[in-house]
Amino acid sequence: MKNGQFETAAGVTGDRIKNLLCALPDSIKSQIREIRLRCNKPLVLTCAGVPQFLYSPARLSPVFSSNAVTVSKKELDEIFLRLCSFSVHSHSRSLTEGCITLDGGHRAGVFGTAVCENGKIVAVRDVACINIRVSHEIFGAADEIYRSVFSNSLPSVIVAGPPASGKTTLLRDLARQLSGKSRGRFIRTVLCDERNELAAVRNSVAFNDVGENCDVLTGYPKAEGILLAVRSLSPQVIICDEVGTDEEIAAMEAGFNSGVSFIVSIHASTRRELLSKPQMHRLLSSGIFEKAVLLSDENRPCEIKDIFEAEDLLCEICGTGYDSGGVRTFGQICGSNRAQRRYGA
Amino acid sequence: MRNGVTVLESIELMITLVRARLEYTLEPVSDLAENLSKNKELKNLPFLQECAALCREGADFPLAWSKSVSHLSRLTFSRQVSEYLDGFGKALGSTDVSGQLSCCDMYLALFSACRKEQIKKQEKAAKLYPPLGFLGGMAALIFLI
Repeated sequence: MKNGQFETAAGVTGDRIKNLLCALPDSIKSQIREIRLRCNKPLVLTCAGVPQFLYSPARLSPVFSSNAVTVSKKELDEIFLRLCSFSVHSHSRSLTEGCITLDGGHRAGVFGTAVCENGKIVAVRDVACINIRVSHEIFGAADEIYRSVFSNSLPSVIVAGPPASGKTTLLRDLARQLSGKSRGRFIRTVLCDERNELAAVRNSVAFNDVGENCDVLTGYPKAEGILLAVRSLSPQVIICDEVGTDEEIAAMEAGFNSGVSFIVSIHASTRRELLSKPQMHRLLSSGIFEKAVLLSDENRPCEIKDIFEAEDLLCEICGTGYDSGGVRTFGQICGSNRAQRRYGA
Repeated sequence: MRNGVTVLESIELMITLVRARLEYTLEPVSDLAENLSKNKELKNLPFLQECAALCREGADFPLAWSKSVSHLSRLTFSRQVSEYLDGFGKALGSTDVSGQLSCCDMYLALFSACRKEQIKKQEKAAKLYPPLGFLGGMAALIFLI
């Protein structure tokens, strides 16, 4: 983890809590993944996958007692405003999506009472809980996936994993390795960073290292960002976090037809969950992707659990596996572009 | 007194600029302060420079605004104007866009009322001073005779 990265995340919690958090030993700070703040409730830190309570003077314990540090309503309101840089109007959209990105790429989930209009959230009031997810820029996090998948080619890949398994960290490091000097390939890369969590751009400068030949599209809705990038930046690869809507897949198809590769992430803890996800089906059916990489869990961030061929997964979803006697015209059955091209179906 | 009207006009201009920037650029308040502090039209509002400097040093915006207004208010503004300015700074950035625009409109109306009152006072004083001067002159003349 970069020096001072935890301190940046802790900085928004206000002097009292910040001083306690920053006084924790560095070895503990580097393992903290989440800071959970709830109104008039004890502060909970997720440290190495275990919930821990904060006590004064600075120490953590998984055992709760009444003198654990709690967060008052006033403090929570101040933290909320600080998360928005005292500019709630600038973060209206992020708030309705439930997540604000902070300087340094940290993400804060903000929840309270939703104000709805025509069934859509238009605002959030009476903030009751905030979960700050500490960003971890780990150089070398993508070494394994690079060696296994990208060393000789540039396939389109889906990166799947449970929450906090390091999907975002891995995508960020992959961007750095593909477009940067570390591998010397300088592949034209575009990061479609809708929530500014990959590159953490502030005043046009990326806080995180995403490589020398990488263009970052911050705040653009992914579908529009992809189309604009394909039109104007002629990328070789586009990297997006958490995709799956029809518009996004349509945009990716347009990019794929222009020869662009895609690396995207999706939430899924197991192969079974991966197969059961409708958006996974849509992504595989698009025929864009060649491989899917499943990450381990939050205790082993960025570690690869399994690598699958996209076509095998698609066959499994459609129930036309090679071993089940299914005819190899799954392209027709599932509408796979790639399969149709390969088998002339 | 004329200076008071000019300052109030500058404050109204500042709020109009804030309103426009909030509506069209959704700028965060610290960037807003930075931009306002560089505006030549607002050079007679020196608290903006101080506020921008405090924000650059990492101070929270409401605190920076409050501090800079209170530093300069005794020298430049009446008590009421500095209270309004303080309230405007506290409200800035605390709600969504429509809330911010309404807030700007409200403070524009308040400052506009202050300015009109100030002008009225000026006019009243302008009417009062010549007779007072004449009477004073007469008194001096009688005293000399």
